[in-house]
Amino acid sequence: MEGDKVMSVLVNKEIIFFGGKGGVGKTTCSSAYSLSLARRGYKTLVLSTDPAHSLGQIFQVELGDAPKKLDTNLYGIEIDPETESKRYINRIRQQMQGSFSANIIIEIQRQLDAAYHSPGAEEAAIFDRFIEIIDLVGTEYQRVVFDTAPTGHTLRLLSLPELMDRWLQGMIERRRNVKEMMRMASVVDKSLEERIKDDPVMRILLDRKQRFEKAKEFLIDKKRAGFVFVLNPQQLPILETEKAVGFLERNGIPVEGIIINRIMPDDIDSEFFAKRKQVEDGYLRQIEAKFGDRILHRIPLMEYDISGYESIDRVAKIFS
Amino acid sequence: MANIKDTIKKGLKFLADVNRGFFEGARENSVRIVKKDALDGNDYFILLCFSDFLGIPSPASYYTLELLPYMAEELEGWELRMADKKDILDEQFEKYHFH
Ligand SMILES: Nc1ncnc2c1ncn2[C@@H]1O[C@H](COP(=O)(O)OP(=O)(O)OP(=O)(O)O)[C@@H](O)[C@H]1O
Ligand SMILES: [Mg+2]
Repeated sequence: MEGDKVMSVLVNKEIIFFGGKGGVGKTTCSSAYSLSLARRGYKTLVLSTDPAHSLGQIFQVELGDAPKKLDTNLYGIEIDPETESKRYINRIRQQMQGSFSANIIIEIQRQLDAAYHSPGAEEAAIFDRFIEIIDLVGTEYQRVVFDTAPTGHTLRLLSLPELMDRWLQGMIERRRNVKEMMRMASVVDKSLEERIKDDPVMRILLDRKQRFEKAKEFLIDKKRAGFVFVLNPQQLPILETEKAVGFLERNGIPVEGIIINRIMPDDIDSEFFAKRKQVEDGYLRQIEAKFGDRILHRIPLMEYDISGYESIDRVAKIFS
Repeated sequence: MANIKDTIKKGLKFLADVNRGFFEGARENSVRIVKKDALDGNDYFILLCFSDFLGIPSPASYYTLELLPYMAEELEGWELRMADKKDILDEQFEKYHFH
């Protein structure tokens, strides 16, 4: 049975991301898949990185930044970038209570207040939380399932480690050069290595870099992580998925396959919908040609919205 | 809109070059020159961390916030020196118009 393919291909990976265009069924598939994992006995965390969350809604539970139990073996989180950045910025504020001049304190407070809204802050905050969660894989949770935001947002998020790793490397080299020049200009006899070891700025930069490297390693580790795209038999989702798969593969992030969602039933007695079905068949053939054996599953269009435990359960049953 | 995008692009290119060490002075052993180079180098490093303060957005600006407690002391002087160097920076910045 085809459902077995989802489980057999994915089940051994510790982290699975569900991605795709807006509204195609990412939240539906990640909920159903994580429920299947939990039923197989894996302690599973399902979490949403989409700032416009709907994971809690589908389970009909209010979710937040801390894990909440959804079922036996199943826990859920909706990452809240604002909670995350508040925590970070408050920590900095506390450390700032030193003996700085009033002028600079005012300026810095202004800067910290603006930081919440600076471009990239939301993604950076989500990514920080993501790195924390990676640490729980294999210890706190056996499986982690990501319900991601629509494609563009997610691809930006996933290219962050590569970009930041390079950027931080440059900064570390700059800092090292400055320290070296300072050593040359200084009368104090202290080696470069000592100066670097005693430098809190260097320590922070190296620590950041190390965390990004760890995330990067995890993302490209085919044994541990993988990406699944959900799409509908329609033109735009097909094109967007094709582009996104290419992007991930160029960046070494393994794509495990795709799930086709909302396929119209075969027995249609309305002429109008029979025509629609013909159009859809054309798109299904396109998907077949483009993705072939990477198609993991086909989910029919259901007569009801998928919301609430019972309907997730219905999809989960097809998976397992 | 295109203008803002252009400015951001220019700013980023400029920062990227700073980050590659593009503006670092030649190494010399004369202590006086090294001292000056060290100070300049440090100013560029602070620029990489806090270019936001001067209105140049940086990809790392969220992450460098946590450096503030260790660098705040230097910021005031840095901002003054940057204001002095504004003409030089503008000139360098202008170069990024053509690439
Ligand atoms: N196979 C299906 N049959 C019927 N309704 C479906 C099916 N799959 C999903 N839906 C419904 O379509 C809507 C969107 O699904 P879902 O929330 O899973 O998509 P999404 O990709 O997570 O959306 P977003 O990009 O907004 O996060 C929901 O109301 C869901 O109940
Ligand atoms: Mg969703």
